[in-house]
Amino acid sequence: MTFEKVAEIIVNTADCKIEDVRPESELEALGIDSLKAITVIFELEEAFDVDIPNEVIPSIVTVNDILEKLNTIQQ
Amino acid sequence: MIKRRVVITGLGAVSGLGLNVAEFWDALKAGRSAIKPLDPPIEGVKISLGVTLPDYDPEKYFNTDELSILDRYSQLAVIAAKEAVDDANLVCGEKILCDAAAIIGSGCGGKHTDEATYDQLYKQQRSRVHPLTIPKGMPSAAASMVSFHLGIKGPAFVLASACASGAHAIIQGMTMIQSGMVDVAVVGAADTPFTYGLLKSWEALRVASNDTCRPFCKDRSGLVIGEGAGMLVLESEEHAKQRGARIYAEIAGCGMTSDAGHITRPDVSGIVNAMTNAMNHAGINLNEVDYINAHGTGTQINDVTETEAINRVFGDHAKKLAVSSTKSMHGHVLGASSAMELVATTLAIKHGIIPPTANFTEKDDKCNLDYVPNDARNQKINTVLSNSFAFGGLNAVIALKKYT
Repeated sequence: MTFEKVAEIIVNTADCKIEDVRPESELEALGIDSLKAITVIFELEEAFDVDIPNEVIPSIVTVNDILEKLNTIQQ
Repeated sequence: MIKRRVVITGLGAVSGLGLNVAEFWDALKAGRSAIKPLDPPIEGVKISLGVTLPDYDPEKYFNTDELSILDRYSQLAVIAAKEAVDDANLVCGEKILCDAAAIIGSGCGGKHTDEATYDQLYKQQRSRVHPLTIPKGMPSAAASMVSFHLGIKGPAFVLASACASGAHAIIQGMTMIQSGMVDVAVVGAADTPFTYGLLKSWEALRVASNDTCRPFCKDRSGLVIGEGAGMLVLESEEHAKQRGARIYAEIAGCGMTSDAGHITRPDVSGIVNAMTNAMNHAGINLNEVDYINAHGTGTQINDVTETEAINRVFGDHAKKLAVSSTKSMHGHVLGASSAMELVATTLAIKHGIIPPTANFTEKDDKCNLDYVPNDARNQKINTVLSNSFAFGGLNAVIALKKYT
């Protein structure tokens, strides 16, 4: 469920194909530059009602990194 | 120092009269006003009239990605700038534009973005805002967006002088070309003031009419706010001739003054000096001037002050001049008015047609000039002034000449 929502946010922001978004996909390869990355983070915060601190952002490289950070923050 | 001559080679306009120059000019020639009741009315706002864009769909001009960073005022700036560049037979991204300047005026900047954000924070009590709020809403956004979309890599910035912003931007571009800094400049202005906060602020100033805009008439009751953009391509004469560009007119000179006086009341001497300086700078004699595109807001104080200044500068020749206010048709588009008016003035010279002052009823006793009431006039004109005066006492006058 979480993955589907994250994938939807990525597709809406990066204009990539849903089938290209897999847990191991690198965000940069999906067309997410630094500006789009902060938009994805904003959309994640809105969708999951969480605050994603600035310090975790550099360690987010893949879709799976997003899922892990969300999991940690939501615990 | 010998000044390089500066010519106008491209025009763009987005306004309530239409989304391109052809529709803009057709309406001006026909004396057709785009002033209408705001539909739907804005709840809680006493201002009931405006000039809004007809059938404007941003998605016809920009994709979703582009729109995510384009405030409405930047959208109109880009659309008008692209039209001006197409009209000048230039191609976005080509070397000529790469070396060009983009100088854009705006009275308000990205207020749609700012106000939507403040609404979310203050009214809806939300705790976060969209990450693109700053680059989308910043007052300089239009210059960045025009630069991106046209491939301009020379000097680019936005300047603000309230209702004279467009004129000051055009003058800045002109002087950059005269000095040899650039050969080509895309200049003009955009404003989109239909936001709740701005309309409430204009309402508080008590200068907006709920009748219509009738400049210089006895029963005038104020200005009517509009939205839009006007853009021009300026070039050095030699550059335009070298590439075989069509030349509309020569932008021959300018006069800029400030009143150092009242914050909203215009000052006769400030206007007199701006018009006189423009004619001196352009090297034209006052008897040569055929037409003045007036600031002509339709407020009590502007129209008598501007008339008095014209009489003082021109003496007996004032009665022989045609003076009209196209704000009666496209509305007062704040900083963009002066740019739209220069587009209108350029076309007036090109086609030998003076656009009228629309909605004209009976002349005010204190306004004793020929205001070209209601109907456009076929008249060959060679030398014109375009007047713009801003709140805060910032005056800018541009002199245009038929290119020979």
